[in-house]
Amino acid sequence: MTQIEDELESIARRFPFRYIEVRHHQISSRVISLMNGELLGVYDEIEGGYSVRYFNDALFFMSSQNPNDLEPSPERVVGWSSDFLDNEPENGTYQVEEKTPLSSISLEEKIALLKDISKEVLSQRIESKLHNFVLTYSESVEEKEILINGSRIVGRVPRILISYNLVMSGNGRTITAWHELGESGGLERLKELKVGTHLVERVKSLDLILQRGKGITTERRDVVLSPILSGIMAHESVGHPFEADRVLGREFAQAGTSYLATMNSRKIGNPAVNVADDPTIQNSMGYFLVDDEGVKARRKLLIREGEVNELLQNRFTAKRSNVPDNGSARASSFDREPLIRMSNTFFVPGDMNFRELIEDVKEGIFFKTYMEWNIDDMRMGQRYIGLEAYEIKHGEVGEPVLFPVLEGKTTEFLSAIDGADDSLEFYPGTCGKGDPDQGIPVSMGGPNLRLRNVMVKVI
Amino acid sequence: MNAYAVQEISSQTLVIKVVESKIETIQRLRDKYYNVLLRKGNRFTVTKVSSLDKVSLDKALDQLPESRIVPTVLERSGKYSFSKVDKGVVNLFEDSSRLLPLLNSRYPLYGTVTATVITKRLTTIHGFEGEESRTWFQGYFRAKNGDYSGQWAFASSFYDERKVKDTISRAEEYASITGKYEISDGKYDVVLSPLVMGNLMATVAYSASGYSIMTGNSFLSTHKPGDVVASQKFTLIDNPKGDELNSWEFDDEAVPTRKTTIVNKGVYTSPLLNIEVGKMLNQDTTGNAGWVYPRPWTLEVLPGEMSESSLLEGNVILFNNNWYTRFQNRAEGQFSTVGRDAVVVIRGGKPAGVAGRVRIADKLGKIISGIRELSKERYPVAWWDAPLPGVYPFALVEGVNLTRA
Repeated sequence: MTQIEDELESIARRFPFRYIEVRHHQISSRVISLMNGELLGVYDEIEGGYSVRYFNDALFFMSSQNPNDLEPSPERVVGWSSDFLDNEPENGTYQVEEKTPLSSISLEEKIALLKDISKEVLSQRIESKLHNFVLTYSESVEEKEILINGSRIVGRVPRILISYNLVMSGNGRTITAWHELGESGGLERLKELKVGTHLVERVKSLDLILQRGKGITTERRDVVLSPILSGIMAHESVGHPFEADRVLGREFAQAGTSYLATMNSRKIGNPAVNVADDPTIQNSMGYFLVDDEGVKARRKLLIREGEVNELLQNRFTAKRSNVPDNGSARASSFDREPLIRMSNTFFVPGDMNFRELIEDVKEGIFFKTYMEWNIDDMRMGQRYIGLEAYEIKHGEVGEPVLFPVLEGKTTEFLSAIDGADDSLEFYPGTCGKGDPDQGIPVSMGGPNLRLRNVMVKVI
Repeated sequence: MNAYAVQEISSQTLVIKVVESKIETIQRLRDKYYNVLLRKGNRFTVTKVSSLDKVSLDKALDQLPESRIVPTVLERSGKYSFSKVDKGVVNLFEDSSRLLPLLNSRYPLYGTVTATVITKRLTTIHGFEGEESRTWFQGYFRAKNGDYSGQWAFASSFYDERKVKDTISRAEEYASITGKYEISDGKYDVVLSPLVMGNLMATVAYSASGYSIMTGNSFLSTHKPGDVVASQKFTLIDNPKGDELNSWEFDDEAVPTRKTTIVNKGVYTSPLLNIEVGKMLNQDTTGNAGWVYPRPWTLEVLPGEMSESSLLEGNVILFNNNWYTRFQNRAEGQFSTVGRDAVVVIRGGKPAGVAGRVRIADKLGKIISGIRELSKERYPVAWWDAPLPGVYPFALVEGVNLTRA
C-alpha cells in the first residue's frame, strides 16, 4: 500500500457515514509566457491535498493539505439533497499516455521553441500593425486517487495548453483576439497542434479582415458556423443546460438555471441535431474513465435527432430524478467538491462534405472565429460576434465581412440547423461552475454547421 | 534558499450553500501555500507550492533568457504586523449552526454565505517580514418567485446577522416585482444596481492595470492621466486602506498600499501599478503588485446626491443584476453583459414589468461617460460573478445600448 493509499484509508476511518469519498488530488503545472518574442515569465505550481465529502442527511465537504485536519462537521441538518444512488462504486485506473514525456526537453528548449514560433509570427509581412502578441504555453499533470466506500479510483492526465492574445490595428480599426489550443498527452501533442502554422494563418486572416473587411446590414441569412463556433454552442447552449443539478435548481444562485427546467416538450431542434458528451475520447482535455463518485464514465447522447435524450447526472441528481447515473461528477482540484461537469461536448458530424454543406447557400455568412460569446443564465438567449467572418455567395466562401452578430435563442438556433458536415474538431476550454468557483478542463467541438434563415445583426 | 521573496498565504474558509431554502452543503476548506520568487538579474521564476521543500532551486535560472518585465521588491526592511480578525467570523468555523435558521425566505431561497480567515506573510531579500490577518464575511441570495427572481449581496469584515437578513429581504423585494414587459433593441436610460456596478467597475479597474494598458488590452491604453474619460459625476477609487474585503496594508512587493484614485470627477488620474510595470510606464508604483501583473484590491465609487428612489423616477430600466460580461474588443472597451433577476421597466416612476434577460451591449468608456446621477446610498457587495469587493451606489446611465436575443 502506498503512503497516499494508507492516508486515504486512515482518513476514511474517521467518517462513519453511509457514503464517503476521500480524495488525494494534485496538479503540477508549468506556464511559460512570452510577450512579443521576449520571455515574460516562468511559473511553476504544485497544488495538492486531501478532501472528504460525505453524506449525513446533507452533504459535507472538507479539504486540507494536512490530512489530520479532516474531521466530521458539527452541524446536523437535513439537506436539499436528501438521498443518493447507492450503486457499488467502481474500482478503476485510467491515464493518458505521454508518448513524449513533458520532461523530455528542458525549460530552455521549450522557451527557445516558443521564441521561434513568436519570431515567425512577428515577421509576417502584413499591412496591419501587430501591436502586441502574448504567447503562453502551459503543461500540467493532474493526478487523483479516490477511495469511495472501499473502492479505489486512480487517474492521471497530462495536458498541454497554448493560449495567445493579439492586438492588431489597421484601416482605423483595432481588434483584440484570444484563442486556445490544447489536448491531453505528452509533448507529441504540441506537434499535432501545429501552433506556428495556426498562428501565422490567424495573423494573416486578421490582417485581411482589417484591410478588406466590409460592413453588413442587419437581416436574416443562412449562416455556417465553423467547429470553433459549433463547439462553443455545444458547450454553452446544450452542455450546460443539460447538467441535471442545474435543471433541478442546485446552481440557481450561481451559474443559473436551464431552459429544460420549464420545457415540456422533448423536441428541441431539427432532426439533423445530435449533441454528445464523451469523456472517453483519447487525448481530449476532459478525459476520464471513472468519475469522482466512482461511477463508470461513458458517452452520453444529450440530443438525439433533435430531441432531448439524456442529462448529465451524478449520484444525487440520478436518485432525485429516478434515472441511472451516467458518471458525470468531477472536481477541479483537491479543495473543490465534485459537481456535474461536461467532459468533451460536441455536435455529432453529418455525412456531407463542406462544399456540399454550402453549395445551396445563396447569401450567407461563414463564422470562422468569434471574439465574444455570452448567454443568459437559463441558457436560452445567446450572442456570438464573428471576428473572422466571410460572406458566402452562391455556394462559395468569399470576401471578409466585419463583425457580424449572431444573437438569438437556443431553440431557434437548434431548429435552424439543417446540416452538419463530416469534419470534427475539438478546442480546449476551462469551464466554470460551483462556489467556490471551479475551472475544469474540457474540450468542445463539432463539425461545420449550417443554420437557415437566422437574424444576423451588426455590432 | 536564497529566495528573492516568499509569500505565504494561509486561509480557512467556510461555505454554506442554500438551495430551495434548504442547506445543500457545508464546506470547510483549509489552505496554505507559498509563492516563491527567485530572481537573478533580469531572470526570474515564480513557484507556487504547499511546502517550501517542494521548491526546486532551479538550476536553469542562469540559463534562462532575460525577462521583459522583472518583479522587483521594495528595498524595505524590518517587521510589520497587522491584524483585524473578528471573533464572530472565527467562531463560525467551530460551528455554524446558529446561522442556519436565518437562511430562509418567503420565496424559495438560493445562495451562499462564506466566512474566511486569511493570513498573508511576505519575506523579502531586503529583510522585510510582513504579516497581516483579516476576516471576511460575505454572501449573496437569489429569491425565486415563479418566473421572476431577485438577488442581493453583502460583504463585511465582521460577522453581522443583520446583513444576512437585510440581504435576503432585498432579494425578496426584487423577486416580488412581476409581469412581463417586452422591450426591443435600442438605447435606454438605465439604473445599474450596486451588483451591476460591482461587475462592471471591476472591468474598469482591471483595464486600469498598467499591464492591460501596456499591452493594448484596455480602453485606457490610448488615454493619458489628465484626459476626460467619464462623466464628472464619476469617481472610482481603489481603496485598500479601509475596512472592506481585500483591504491590505502591503502589496506583494512589500510596498505599502494606498488609496489610488483611478478616475476623479471624470478625469483619468492614475493606472494601477507595481514597481516594474510602473518603471516601464515611467511612473511610480501605486502599491498594487501582483508580481508582473498589477491588480485592484477593493473598489469604491463615490456617492452622488440623489436618493435611490429618486433615480427611479421617470422612465428607466433598472438592472438588479447581471452576469457573463465578455469583451469583444478590450482595446475599445466593447463588451456585452446579460441582465438577470429583476430587470425592471420603470414607467412614470412605477414598475411596469420585468424585461427579462436583456443584454447591455456597449462600450465601457461610454457607460462611465453616460453616468448622469449616482445615489447617496452605497452598498458593499461581492458575489460569485462579481468577486472583486467594492462599495457602490446605484447609477443612472443615459443612452445605454440594450439588445435581446
